[in-house]
Amino acid sequence: MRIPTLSILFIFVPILAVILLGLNLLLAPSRPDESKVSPYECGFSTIYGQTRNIFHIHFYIVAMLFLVFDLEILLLFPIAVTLYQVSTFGFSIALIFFIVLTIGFILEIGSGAIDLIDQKTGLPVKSSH
Amino acid sequence: MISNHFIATLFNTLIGLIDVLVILLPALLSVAFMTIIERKQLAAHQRRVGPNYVGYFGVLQPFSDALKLILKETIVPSQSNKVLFYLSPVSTLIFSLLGWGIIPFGQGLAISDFSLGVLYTLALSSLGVYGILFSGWSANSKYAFLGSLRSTASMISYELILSSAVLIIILLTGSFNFTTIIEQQQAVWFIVPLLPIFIIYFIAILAETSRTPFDLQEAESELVAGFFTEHSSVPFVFFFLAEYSSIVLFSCITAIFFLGGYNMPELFVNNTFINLQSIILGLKTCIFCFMFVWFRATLPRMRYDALIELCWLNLLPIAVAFIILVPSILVAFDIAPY
Amino acid sequence: MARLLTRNSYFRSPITQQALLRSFSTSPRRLLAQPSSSHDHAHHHNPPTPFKDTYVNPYKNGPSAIDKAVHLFFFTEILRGMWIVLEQFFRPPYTIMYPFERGPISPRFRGEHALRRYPTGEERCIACKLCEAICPAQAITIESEAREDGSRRTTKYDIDMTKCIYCGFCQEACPVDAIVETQNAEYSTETREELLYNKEKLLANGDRAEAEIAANLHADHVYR
Repeated sequence: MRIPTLSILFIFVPILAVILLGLNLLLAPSRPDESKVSPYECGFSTIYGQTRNIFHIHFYIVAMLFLVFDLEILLLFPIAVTLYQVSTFGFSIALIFFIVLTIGFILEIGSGAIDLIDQKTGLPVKSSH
Repeated sequence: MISNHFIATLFNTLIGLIDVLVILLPALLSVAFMTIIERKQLAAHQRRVGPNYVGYFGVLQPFSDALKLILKETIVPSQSNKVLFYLSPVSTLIFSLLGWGIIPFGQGLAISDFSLGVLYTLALSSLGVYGILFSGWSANSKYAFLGSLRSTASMISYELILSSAVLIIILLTGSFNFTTIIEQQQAVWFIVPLLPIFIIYFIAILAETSRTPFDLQEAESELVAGFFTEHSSVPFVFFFLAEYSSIVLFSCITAIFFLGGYNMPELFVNNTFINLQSIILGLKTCIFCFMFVWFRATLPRMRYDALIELCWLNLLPIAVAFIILVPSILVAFDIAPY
Repeated sequence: MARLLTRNSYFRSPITQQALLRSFSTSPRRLLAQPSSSHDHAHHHNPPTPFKDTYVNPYKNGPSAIDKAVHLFFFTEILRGMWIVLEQFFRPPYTIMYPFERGPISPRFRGEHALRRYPTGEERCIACKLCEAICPAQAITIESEAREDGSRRTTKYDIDMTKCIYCGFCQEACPVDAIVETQNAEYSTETREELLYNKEKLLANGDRAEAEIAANLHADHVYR
């Protein structure tokens, strides 16, 4: 029985990281001061409750779209490795799948899901979608 | 008594550990030297001299930097999530260093000649995004949070482009295994038929590692330091190391995908037991590391919405076009690899 | 017709204006193609309408579609910029290695202060207090009394280098060139008290650097 080398790598790298953290714990001073541990906001003092405030929905939309398109590309990986066996028939099935998703992509671009800043005014897009 | 089987297992594990160290320690050294290479090369591009005090021509600079940073105090912000605060840089470093596990330095000479190596690499780059997201969230600061959101959005957008470009490479090789990809390039390096894909792949790599022109998180004038504003000494070292490790790792992977990896066919026949092929791989990796820093010296930074627009409105349609074009050609001329 | 052109000149770029002039000059060819009834102005064809007959396609003389596509997909201008940066990589740096090499310093450079002496050894300063009066930061403090041999000399001449702004007014005001500023700017200390110079320190500075001070004064005296 042999432990696979990749598993040894998986064990070794976290140990390395923890060793580095441990060195810092041992060797570095730790004198927390009230102004040191306050968050850095270029001189302003923080308002309690506003540090994790709401953010623009654009980031969420980008993440959702990434999810869909990444899965689409992942689902095309099997045909990438077996193109010889499935040749024309398999390729046309994959092409139909891909074209359906591309139509969705065109719709998404057209509806302006990606715009964050209105090009004319430079302000964030007032989204109505 | 200790059985024979146990001793055999222990011995094999030790050999495995030596395997890991032989690959990982030079990888870490190369990451350390990448930092000084970047500073010296940027300085050379800008007609000045970089750090030249510490060793001969400054080569010991990364070690003095690491030593200084380890000896500095780690300041944990008061209302942060302590667990996530420490865990996110650790996880970023871990996922960055794990990528070295499948790179072959000779025929089949990797820590693990995984048959799904490419998927492993893509998965690790996707998992690395978690570290960035959590670090911005855990540091209890508006600016770090916004910086991490922007970095995350840019990294995941360009992962699509990266996956598409890699998909096309896989179409030409028919296997996910890195060694097979290199062996398939005996006839011609893939940069020759796939030059446009190399271009979009390189853009995706620049954005994945958050390098200029896509490095808003490091733009000091914008968000101080982005998602690692609040991380001080060793957490900062982890992010720093993870970034440069991704640079060297992705350079290596680019050399494997597009420049034929460790092969320099018909230039020499290696009759010795010295692994000259790893030197070839190293030289090709150096070319791409040079190009990373060269791009940083030349290009200004892109605004965030221009970056997102570039990905979704310009590069992704091109990638989609290539994903339809390349298998069409392969199927039409019946040259799909098996 | 020229007036027509100038009226619309605010709305046209110089390129199209030039093109307009060119096309305008070719329009008589069309006039020749008409039946030649030039004697009769009433039957003249309609005067050329400003837009329809003088219109020139602004894209006609620009880059072709292939050119534009290549510039778009292979980012030609970025590659040109990168080539320039690559050239700079192989050129020598401009850096001066500071503690071992120094940059050029003018003879007028205003650095650390010094009190000079005459070639006989007599100190130049006659306690006229002009420098104390003109110092904008009031960094100079002078007390004087007659020396044993009756000449007018200072007993206390202090310059507070932490107040001094190194403007050089004192060396301009001095009638005997006693107080000067040398070229030395590297005299940092580790305690603040060492920077409050008194007369001995200033005289010692002067004795140490007299040759250099004399050379600088000689180089600059035509301008003073």
